[in-house]
Amino acid sequence: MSRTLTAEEKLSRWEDVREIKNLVGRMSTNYTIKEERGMFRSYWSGREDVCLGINTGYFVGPAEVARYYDGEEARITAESAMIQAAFPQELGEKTQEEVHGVGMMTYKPVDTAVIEVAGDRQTAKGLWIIRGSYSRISTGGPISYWEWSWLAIDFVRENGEWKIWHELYLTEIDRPCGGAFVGPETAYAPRPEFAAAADIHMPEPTVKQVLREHYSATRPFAASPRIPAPYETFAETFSYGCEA
Amino acid sequence: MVYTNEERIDRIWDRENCVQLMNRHAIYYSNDMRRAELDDLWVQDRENQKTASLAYNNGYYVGMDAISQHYVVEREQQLYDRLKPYCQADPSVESCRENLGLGASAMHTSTTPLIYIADDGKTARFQGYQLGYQSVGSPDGTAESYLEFGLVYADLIREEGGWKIWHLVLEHDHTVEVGHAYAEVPVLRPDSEDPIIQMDCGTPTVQRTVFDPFYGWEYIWQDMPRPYETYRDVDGYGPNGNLGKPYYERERR
Amino acid sequence: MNRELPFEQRIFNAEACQTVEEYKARHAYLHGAGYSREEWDLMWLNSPNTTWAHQFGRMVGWDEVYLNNVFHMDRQVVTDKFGMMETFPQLMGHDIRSVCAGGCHALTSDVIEISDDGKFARASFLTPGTLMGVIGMDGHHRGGFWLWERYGSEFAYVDGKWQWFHEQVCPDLAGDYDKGNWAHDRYLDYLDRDLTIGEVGGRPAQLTEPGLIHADYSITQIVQDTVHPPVPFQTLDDDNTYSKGRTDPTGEITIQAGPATKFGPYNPDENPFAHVKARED
Repeated sequence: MSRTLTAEEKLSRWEDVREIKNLVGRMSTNYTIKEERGMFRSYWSGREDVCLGINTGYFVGPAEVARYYDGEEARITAESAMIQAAFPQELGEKTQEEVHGVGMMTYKPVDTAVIEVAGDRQTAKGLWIIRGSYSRISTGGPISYWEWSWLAIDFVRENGEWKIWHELYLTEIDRPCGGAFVGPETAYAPRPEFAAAADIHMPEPTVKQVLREHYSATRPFAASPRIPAPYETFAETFSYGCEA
Repeated sequence: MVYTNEERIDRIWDRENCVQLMNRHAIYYSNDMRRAELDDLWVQDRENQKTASLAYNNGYYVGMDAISQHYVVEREQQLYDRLKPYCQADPSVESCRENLGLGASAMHTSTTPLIYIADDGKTARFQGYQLGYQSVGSPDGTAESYLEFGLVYADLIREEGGWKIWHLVLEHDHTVEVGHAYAEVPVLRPDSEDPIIQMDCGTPTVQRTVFDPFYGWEYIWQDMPRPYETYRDVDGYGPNGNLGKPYYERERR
Repeated sequence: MNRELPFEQRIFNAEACQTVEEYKARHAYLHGAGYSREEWDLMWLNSPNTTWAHQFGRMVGWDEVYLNNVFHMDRQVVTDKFGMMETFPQLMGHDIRSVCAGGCHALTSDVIEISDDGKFARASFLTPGTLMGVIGMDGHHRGGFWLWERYGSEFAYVDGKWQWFHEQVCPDLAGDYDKGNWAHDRYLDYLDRDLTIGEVGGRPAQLTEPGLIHADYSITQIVQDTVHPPVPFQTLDDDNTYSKGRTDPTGEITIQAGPATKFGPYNPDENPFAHVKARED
């Protein structure tokens, strides 16, 4: 931005940055307390052109983004039910809501934030690193994974609040803890109490497109999503949304 | 110091901009955008470039020419060397810049920023903690992957284009080979045998111990940034500072 | 973040957010280096309602917090270092607290809110923390220990400066880099009745309000939202705090708490650490 900002404008822009950090920090914590189901409602814009990109493509539009989170929720519900059934003595008496997220642990800490608020303060862009670890139920029982991901978000201001407009959640490393980052994964012997894990599938993206291959020893080097740079209006900058 | 409201807001932004500058460094570093990093994030003023420094456990590269030679030129040669086995295994893989980094991956975070802007507003002192990894592949599909940890220190300086990195110290604490227990690494393994040290640090122009992982954070109380009036070399994170020196070699503050 | 506040108050609150970041970072490094006295003397509020809570319960009052986090921490650190020096005599003569230290409860996912009255700050963090040492806790092998925790932190503006008032530490996972698969291993341990829960925080020497506040991960652990990220708030009170009953820096108690999981009458017979508390240190 070339023009000189007033003190009020400078302060407001700093408050924008802090609010965006708070939003992403809250979202990160929601994973830990297994509240993925509330994320779309709490953090996303009401616009029709919202978009979520993952390694295998984009979920385009509010219904599709909501479908992604519904898929996450369905997985949590299914895993919770399996664990409850496997431990009737400890969990049998609990309601479905009480066991929601039981036996799961998800850390998706966000750090290394680079945030740019547009000169017109109607939009903002941010890039973060996620260096996490999480558990998932497989047919062989609970497995924990190392996760290294890039989180890139376009924000839009709605009714005075920052909301997610476009999000790219691109995973570089998603590998079982205690094993190599490449090559075959450790096979755990099937356990009948977790056989239903084979039936859990995440929704397919609306636009199937390889946005990022997971790391392998034969993959070309893959850089982060583009790093936010100062801009005046969104028309001047790039988008983390689906170009199509 | 008493500041006007305007100055207070400017200092709030100074701090934010310095943190984000160091975050950008971590991302450029992850992306291996080293030439761009020196152009975009490091000092551009000629005088500042003369005294710029990049340090690892084993010493300082001083001056932008030396930094560039190590950080960009030697790195690129290293990447070409790593590409050779791929070219040998598959002649269709060209030894060219576009293929550099084939089979490699790295992410370096910047967390836990502790930062103070000098009272005179001209410089800032930064401390952070990096949790990262780097992985180097082989054409047979395997890879050597290491988790790495370390403190980061920096002197930042205000130039016409905003805050810039002046002195950067990338200390290295621990290297954990992915999938292998750290406890199996001998306690007294020399730093020079650490795979990350071997890969990253080269031969600095000013060779001296900046950080010895065996003794760990022994001097962190002395080294960590704290409120200050103006920059002095002896307090800085450049080659004339105290990092790595024992008590009896340090100038008392 | 309330943008309807007077301009000067908004500047004050912005500075306060950065002070929270500063204090948390200083803590991370000083704690990692075993420099407890410097941390508590410089940043913490000397109040009867100062609290420091962990998995094992809540320390209440400045004296108790200081006793555990400074005196007993120092004793532990020094004891460990003397042990290391027996094996590695080259450590003699070095700073007995900080030598060989190198663990960092790295700070991420920060959410920070300042009260509208400008007197309190609340913050939550996640930490992909490390407890690393070239010489590990056993004094003989390298130590590479991860520690995934959540933090709820509160600060009070007293005597013209921000001071740390409450800390709630919630450890979820601890284990060795890069050994095994924590979810699977803990599952097998659970099946074998060999999984220990509630041991991550160790045993404080003195504890007013013992009780398992936050359990580490197991296959049957239900979700614990122990330190929910703060939301905009008017002032620190029992609806907006990580330390119920102890929100007044001058010492007024609004809820008489006992074992922390219940916040009911305190029953010493329920104190699992009674034998520790009775020990003469």
